[in-house]
Amino acid sequence: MYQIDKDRVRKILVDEMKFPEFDVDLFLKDFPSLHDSLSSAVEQWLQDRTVADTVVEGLSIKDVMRKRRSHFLAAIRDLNILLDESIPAERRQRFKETLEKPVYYR
Amino acid sequence: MPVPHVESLRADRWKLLNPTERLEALQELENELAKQRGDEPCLVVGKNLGENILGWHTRSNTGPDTIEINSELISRDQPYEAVETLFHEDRHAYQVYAIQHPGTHDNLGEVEDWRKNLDGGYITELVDYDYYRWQPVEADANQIARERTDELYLGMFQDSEKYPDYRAEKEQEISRDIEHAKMNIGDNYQEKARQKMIEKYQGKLKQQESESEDYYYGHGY
Repeated sequence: MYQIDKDRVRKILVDEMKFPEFDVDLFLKDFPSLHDSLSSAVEQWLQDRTVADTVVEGLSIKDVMRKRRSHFLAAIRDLNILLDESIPAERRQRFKETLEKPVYYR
Repeated sequence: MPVPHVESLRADRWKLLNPTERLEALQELENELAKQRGDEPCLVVGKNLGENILGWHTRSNTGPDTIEINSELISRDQPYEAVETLFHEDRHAYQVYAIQHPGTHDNLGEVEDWRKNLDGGYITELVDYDYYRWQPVEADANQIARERTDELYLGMFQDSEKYPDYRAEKEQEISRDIEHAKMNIGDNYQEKARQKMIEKYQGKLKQQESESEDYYYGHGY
């Protein structure tokens, strides 16, 4: 399993991306350990904010970011769920369906 | 309160209107909703808000609040999403009115949640969709907008041709939002979003208190 460096991530989300501190801390507080197959994409993003072409169950990080209008780490957290074998396959499939459709904001 | 009857919002009438007339129909709906609560109506405008953003409600201290509806919804031949977005944004105007006018809304606990939510406790859409979607003001606006759109098109207009398909899609959207929130926040996602909103509100309050103490000390009190 791979753990993100929360202090480093916090700095990026707050200082660079200008996200509200409370919202960032809320997001990071329960941020899960990640499947090893996502580690290189995260390391790359930490280095230069490049979004790798990593694909999980047919969904790329960019697909999820676009459909859900989310930032990189929110997409990573979503894709990590698809790789979590402790979650029943049927539930993961249902979750995958939530990532395939756009989310609307208002 | 019953939903106002605005004839131009019927799907078969809407289809024949140009974008300006459609916006006028939405403004008429907003005028009637504001009249029901005894408030000034928001100004309804069409705007290119980009992909995935349906509308915004913006508060103003100097003039009427504004409701922006994504122009793409206004250009659609079906009125449903534009109308549901208007209901959603108007509900935010109602929440503000209920906070400022005690007695408007029967459920005082809800009004207190809305107050905290809009007075420093708002969780933005930027970082985590689930907390944003299920915080009190957004959960309420989504639910009321859904109910009112049903009331208008299923009840008042008896639209059995196209509306049922739209409605089914919206119900699926809600199911997906619930599934996503349960997975990331937990089964009690709505209460958890409420708790986090209160934490954020209390944090802001403490920050303001400490800033005002600094001010007093700085001025020799």
